[in-house]
Amino acid sequence: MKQEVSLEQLKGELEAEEEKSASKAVFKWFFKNIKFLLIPASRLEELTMREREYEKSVSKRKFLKRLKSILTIIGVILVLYVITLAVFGAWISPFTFAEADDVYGVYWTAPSPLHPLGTTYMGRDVYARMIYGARASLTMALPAIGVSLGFGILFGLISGYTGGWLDTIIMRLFDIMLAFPALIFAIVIVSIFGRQLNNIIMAYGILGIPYYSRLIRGNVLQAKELPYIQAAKVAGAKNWRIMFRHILPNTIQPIIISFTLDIGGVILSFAGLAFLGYSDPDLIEWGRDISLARGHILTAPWASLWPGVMIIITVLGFMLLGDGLRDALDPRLKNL
Amino acid sequence: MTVSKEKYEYSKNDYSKSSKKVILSVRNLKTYFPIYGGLFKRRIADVKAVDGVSFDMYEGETLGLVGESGCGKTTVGNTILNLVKPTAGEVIYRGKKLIISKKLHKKQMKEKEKPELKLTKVQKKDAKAIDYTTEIRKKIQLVFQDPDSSLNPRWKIVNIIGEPLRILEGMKKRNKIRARVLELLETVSMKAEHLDRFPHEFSGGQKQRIVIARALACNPDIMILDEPTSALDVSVQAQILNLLRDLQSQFNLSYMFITHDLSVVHHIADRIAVMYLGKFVERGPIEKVFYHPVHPYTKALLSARPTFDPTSRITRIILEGDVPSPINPPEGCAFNPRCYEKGKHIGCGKEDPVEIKISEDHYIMCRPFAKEEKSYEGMEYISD
Repeated sequence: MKQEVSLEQLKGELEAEEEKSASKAVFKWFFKNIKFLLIPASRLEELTMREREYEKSVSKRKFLKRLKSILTIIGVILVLYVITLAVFGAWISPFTFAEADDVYGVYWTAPSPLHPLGTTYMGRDVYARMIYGARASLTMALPAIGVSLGFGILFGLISGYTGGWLDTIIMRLFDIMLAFPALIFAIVIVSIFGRQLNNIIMAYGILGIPYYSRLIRGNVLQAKELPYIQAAKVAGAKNWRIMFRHILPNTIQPIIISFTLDIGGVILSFAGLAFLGYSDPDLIEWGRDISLARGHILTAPWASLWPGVMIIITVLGFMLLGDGLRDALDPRLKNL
Repeated sequence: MTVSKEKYEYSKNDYSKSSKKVILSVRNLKTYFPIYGGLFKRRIADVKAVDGVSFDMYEGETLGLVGESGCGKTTVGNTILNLVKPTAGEVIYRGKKLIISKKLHKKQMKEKEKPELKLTKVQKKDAKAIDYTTEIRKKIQLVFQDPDSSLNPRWKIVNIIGEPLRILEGMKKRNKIRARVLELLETVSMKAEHLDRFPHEFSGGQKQRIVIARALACNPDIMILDEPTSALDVSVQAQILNLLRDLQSQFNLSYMFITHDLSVVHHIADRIAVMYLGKFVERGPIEKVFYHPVHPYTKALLSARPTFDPTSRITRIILEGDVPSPINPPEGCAFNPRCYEKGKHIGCGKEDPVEIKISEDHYIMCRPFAKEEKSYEGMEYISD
C-alpha cells in the first residue's frame, strides 16, 4: 500500500516539477524497493516484519555497515579520487603526458586561462603534472608499503609466535637493517642495479619490513599467552591457523595505523631520492615537483602548493580510511 | 590400583557409583618448568609444578581438585590436555597410553627395553600407546577460569563454537555448522539471536555458557573445568554449577573440577583430591575426606572453611609460615615445615612420604605414626 501511495506522490511531483529531480526520485524509489519488485512475496506484512527483526539482530555486526561513518566515507572518496586521477589521468588532464613533461621557454608563470594553476620549472603545466603525479606516487608508494607490510607481518608473526632461536635470528637481522640509513641504502641499491622503478620500490619496501615486524611481534608476544589461544589449541587448531586466524586479527590494529601514516612518508621519501637525482627522470612525481619548486616558494608558490595539496589529500584519504577500518575491525567499539 | 568392588552408600549421585569404570588414569605424573639463567642461559633449576601425581577418573563422575593457588592444579589439567609437556609419568585414556611428549615416550620405551635383548620393529611399537590425535582432542575438552579472555574478542559466537567442529569434526558447510552451533547453544539455554554476536556483548555467566558449549561441541567424555566459577558472582555460580550437573547426567561426562572453593567442590564433586605443592596429600570420596580428614593439611584446610552454623565452634588450625617455593621444596614431606603434627611420625622431614591407604579408595601421602597402635585405622602401605 505504502509503495503505491509514494508512486502517486511521485507522479504528482513529475508533473509539477522539473524532469531532472523527478528522475532522481524515481531512481531512489527504484533502488529502495528493488527487492519488492524482484520478490513479490516480501510485500507481505509478516515477512517484512520478520526481515526487520532479522536486520535488528544482525545489522550492527556487519563489517560493511560498521564502515559507514562520515569520516570513513570521506576517506574512501579521497582515495577513490586519487585512484581516479591515477587511472584516468590521460582523459582528465588538459595536456598529454609528453606535453606536461616537455621543455618550454617561459618558466614559473602565474595562473592564466591556458595554465589554470600556473606553470612550474621548464614552463610545465602545474595542473597537468598534479594529475599525472598521482600515477607515479601511487604505483611507487603502495607496492613499497605492500612489500614491507606483507613480509613484516609474516616475519613478525613467525618470530613472535615460535620464539627461541628463530626469534633471536630474525630480530638481530632486523636490528642490523634498522641501523642502515634508509636514504643511503636506497642510493646504494639504485646505483648498483640502475634507476628502474622496481629497484627503488624494493629498496624502500625491504627497509620498511623491520618496523612492521617489531610492531607486530610485541603484540603477538602479548596475545599468544592469552587463554583463547590455549582454547584454540584445545579445539585442535594448528600453528599456522592460530597465527593467522586467531592472533593476527587481534594484533592488526597498530599495523593499520602505521600503514596509513607511512603512505605519506614513503611518497615524501621518494621525493627526497628524486631531489638527489636518484629516480627515474621520466616520471612525474609530486614529491620531486615540490622539492624543485622549493626555491621559488615566494615568487611562484603555486608550483609547490598544488602537489603538496595532492599529497595531503592522498595521506588524509588513507588515514581516514585506515581509521575507519580499524574501528570497524574492532567489534568492541559500539558507537560507530 | 584396581577398581574397587565394594559399593558405598552415598547421599548423592548414586547413578555414578553403580558402574565404576576407569576412563582416565594418571600415573606418577611430573611436570617441571625449567628456569634458565646464568651467563649462557643454562638450565639452572626446575619449578616442580606437578611432582608425582597419580589418580583415576571414573566414567560419569566428578573428581574435585582442590588446593591453594600455585600448587599445580591447573598444570595437571594442562598436561592432560597436551598444552604442557610432562617430564615423567603416564596418562592412560580408556586403557591406552597417550603419547603427550614423544621424547618422554621414547625414553620410557628404552627403559622398558633394557632387560630384554633385541626387539623386532613390531614389538617395539607399543600396541597400547596412541598419539595425541584429533580423536583424543575430541574426547578431552577444557573450560577456562576466566570466560572473558577465553573467547577471541574478534570472532563471532558461531565461529568460536564452530572452530572445534570445523577442525576436529571436519565440518565444511556453513549451514551445518550454524545448525549444530545453535543446537549447542540451546543445550546451554541460549538463543538463536546470540549466534552472530561478539563476546563482549554478553555477561560473564553467558560467556561461561558459551565456553561450555564450545567444550561440548565434539561430544567429549572428559571435561577439565579449570575454576569455571571463580570469576562469576554467587548467583551465576549456582546457575553454572547446576548446568554442569545437568550436562553430566545428560551426556554422561566425567569432570575434573579444579577449584580452590571448598563449598563448590562439596556441591559438585564425587571424589576429591587435595593438592599441596605439586603433590596429592589426600584423596578419596568426598564424604570421607570432608567429614573424616586424616592428613594434617586437609584438616587445616577444612577448618579454615566458613560455616553457616554460628553455634558450632570449630577449632581453627592455623598453619605457620608460607608455602615453600616449588623450585626447591623441603626435604622429605613438602608440608613438613608447616605441619602441626611434625615429629609425631617416623622420619618426618627426612624421608619421602609414602602413600597410605586409610580405607577403601581413601589415600594420604604421609609418614606412619611412631607407635604402632596409634597408626591409622585399617592402614595399608601402597608403596615403600
